[in-house]
Amino acid sequence: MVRPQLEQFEIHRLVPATTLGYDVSFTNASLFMLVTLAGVWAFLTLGMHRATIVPGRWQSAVEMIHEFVVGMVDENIGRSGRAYVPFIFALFIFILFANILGLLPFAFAVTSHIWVTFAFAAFIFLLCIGIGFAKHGLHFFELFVPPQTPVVLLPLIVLIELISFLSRPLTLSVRLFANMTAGHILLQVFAGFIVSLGLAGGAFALLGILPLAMNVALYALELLVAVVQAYVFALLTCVYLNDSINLPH
Amino acid sequence: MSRPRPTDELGSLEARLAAAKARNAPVDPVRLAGGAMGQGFRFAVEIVVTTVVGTAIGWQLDRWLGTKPWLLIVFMLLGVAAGFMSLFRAVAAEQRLVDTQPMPPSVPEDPEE
Repeated sequence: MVRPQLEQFEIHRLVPATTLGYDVSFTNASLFMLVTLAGVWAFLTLGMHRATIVPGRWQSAVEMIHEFVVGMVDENIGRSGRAYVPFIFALFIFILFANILGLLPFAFAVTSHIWVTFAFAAFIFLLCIGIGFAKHGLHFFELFVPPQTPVVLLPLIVLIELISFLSRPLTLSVRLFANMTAGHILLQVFAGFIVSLGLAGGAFALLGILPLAMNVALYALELLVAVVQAYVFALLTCVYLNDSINLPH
Repeated sequence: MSRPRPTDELGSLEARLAAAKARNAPVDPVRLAGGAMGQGFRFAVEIVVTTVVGTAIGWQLDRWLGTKPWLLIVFMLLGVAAGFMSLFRAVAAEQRLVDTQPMPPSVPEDPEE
């Protein structure tokens, strides 16, 4: 039996399937990832299908998001980062749409599952290591040695840098997952208060307005969190890629 | 017929517009607050996670080397240090940015007051 507050995070098998002993069922999480993709596709293609030199509202929305990502990449990676714009853009817009879609009633928040966010983060982590070694070879290990480190402190600093580097996939995934999960639980808890106060009747029912007002405010906050977390995820991906591409030390 | 492409003239106009906008861009408070919140969460999570990862590394090394509980303690502290070091670096970078930015023109005091 699951607590009612956590029921929204439950995964149901829609089309059960197993391959080679692994459960590869099509679940509600898979469904909402497809819905997210469809939303992104509709937003981009319908916005750009009649592109004009003076953009309309929809087209400028698409262009603004693109310029925002390009600006972020330029600022954090530099000119050599332009090649990664499509990757960062895809990442940003997918997470953004998944976060916002998850806030709709009856929707399933894909990004509130650690395995989803960890899959992204682990891929980015391996990508960064791959790019780092491809571009710099063994010099990539210099990432763990900040310049002007006293020789005495070197073993300590290298260990600290190593821990900091190894925790990257976790920080990246936990941040997004924790924000989304916490927000959704909060909304559900306050919604529960509304219902129980309403059932209590009389003066209690009037008090039910308080959690309702709280939920409206929380919902606005969650919309902000949805955008901010998508931004932070993309930003940190840029920062990590920058470490691999430019070897800042 | 292909879609109209922006001409060079328009490109330079756009560049000049962007430069002019950047010169006196008002700071959007919502955007500022959102950015600050994102940054705050970033380092809060980072400190927690590096501590956990450091502890996990120490715990596993202890099991392999049979040095219970010393490496766990050492690596937990290193994890905390790693979290705070990234926070410290970010603050230092921010400070450099503030230091290099020109001061905004000061407003002369109102003599009537």
